[in-house]
Amino acid sequence: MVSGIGASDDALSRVVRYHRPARPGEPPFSSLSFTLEDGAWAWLVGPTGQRSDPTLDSILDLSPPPEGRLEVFGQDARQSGRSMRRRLRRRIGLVRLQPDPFIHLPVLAATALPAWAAAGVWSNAERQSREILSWLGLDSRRNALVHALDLDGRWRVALARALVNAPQLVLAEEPGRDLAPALRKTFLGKLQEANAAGMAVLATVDEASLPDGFIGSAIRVPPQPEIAT
Amino acid sequence: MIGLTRSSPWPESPGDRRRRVGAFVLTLTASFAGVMILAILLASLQSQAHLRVRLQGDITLAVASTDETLESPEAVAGRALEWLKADPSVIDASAEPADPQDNELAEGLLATPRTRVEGRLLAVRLRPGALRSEVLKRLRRPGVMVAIDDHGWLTSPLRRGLALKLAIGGLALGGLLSAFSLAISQVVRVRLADNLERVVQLSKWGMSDLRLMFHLTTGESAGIGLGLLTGAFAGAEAAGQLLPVLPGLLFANNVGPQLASAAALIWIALATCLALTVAAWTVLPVLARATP
Repeated sequence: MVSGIGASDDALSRVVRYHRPARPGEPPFSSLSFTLEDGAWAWLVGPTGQRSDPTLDSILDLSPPPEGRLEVFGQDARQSGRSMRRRLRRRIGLVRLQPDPFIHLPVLAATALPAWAAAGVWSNAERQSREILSWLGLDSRRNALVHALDLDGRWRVALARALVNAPQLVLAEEPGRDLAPALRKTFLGKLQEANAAGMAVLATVDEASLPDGFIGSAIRVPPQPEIAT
Repeated sequence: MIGLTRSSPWPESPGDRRRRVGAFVLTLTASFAGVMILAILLASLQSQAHLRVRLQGDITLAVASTDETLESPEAVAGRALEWLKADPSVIDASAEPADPQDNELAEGLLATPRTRVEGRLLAVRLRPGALRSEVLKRLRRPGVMVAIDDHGWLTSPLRRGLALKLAIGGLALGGLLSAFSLAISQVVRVRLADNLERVVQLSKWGMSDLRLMFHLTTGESAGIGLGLLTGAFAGAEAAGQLLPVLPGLLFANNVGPQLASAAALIWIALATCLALTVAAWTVLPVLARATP
């Protein structure tokens, strides 16, 4: 499997092309540009302590940054109509723990909801969820409420929700954060399996949390300006 | 809704599953029974159509020979016609043209359901004030069975039976349709409630998942919200205009202008809602794309 960042002229193999220019008054190197190839894995490494980066949300919402450019699966997000955006969104999975979505629901239901939202047939969504939960070792906990699971279980549910639609691109926000090293390794191993199956992964992480011997490439994200409160 | 109506809507609760199965069985049974009842009702209506043709004159007489005599139905009918024409209370009497179904009618009228009877029907017109019972009495002679039908819905033996069949069939059909609609509504209710619950859950807790269904921009969402809000206000206004004139619509004769006014308001409300929604779905995305 090839993982890497770099320019490519082949739009078909390009999963994400992102450009966020420097804001007026900022130095030119504060811009962010990257391209994620099909099946690749990239880490967006932010400064330690900075946990909010708008890049994943920008890709997920298919909303390009101001004055910037975003291409997803070769489609310019700015030129994409409603139905195209919906089709593109269905090829993207999101691994996010905070805020915990659907913690009040059973694991099976929480996992099936994205599949139902994508295809509209609950029985199929349940079947897909059972398969993915079984793969993630949550088969026996599928009727438990999400908030009754430990942190590792909740991360696995987040991963199941992201993968249930077999996306082409997985966006992961600080995957396995706050997990014990061994559990985090196991969790990232599952994400790696998905990557090996052909799903491109774009994950955010802060400098201090970048796993040892990580796979894929790292893109340094320039610090975001402080927002006055 | 969660925690109030059901302990957990997902996966499907056993109660819902039973309700679905029950609704399916009920629907299936009701469909079969409905077809049977419809067939009976249609047959009854056909009989009614036949009766309307056969029951001519003021009264209809069914005549047949008794078992002891071997007289043909035509001969009995001929004798009965002679007696009737001699009767001063009868204006006119005639034999109905022979019809295979007359035997069935005659059997019903002569109340001989277990005996095969070959009878004929006679149409009789009576003078005003003539008593049917007197006419009947004069026809009761040896070797002749005779019965009378006065064509009344409640007093006619033939029509009474038919009316009873129609009433029972109608009631059964009404009951079945109610059961059928109940079953359908149960299925639809469960399905709609589940889907609504899921959308509510998504909109409350998983907006990013909801975008798998509707990927709207903020502008589009705002436009649709505005359209729905305006439509709701316009609809409420139209309803407010309509409600005061409802009694007039029900009880007065000259309601044209009021009705036209209310209808116009409803149409305006619908058109406004539609126009704003179309605007939200077409114009706003174009504007959004045009914005650098």
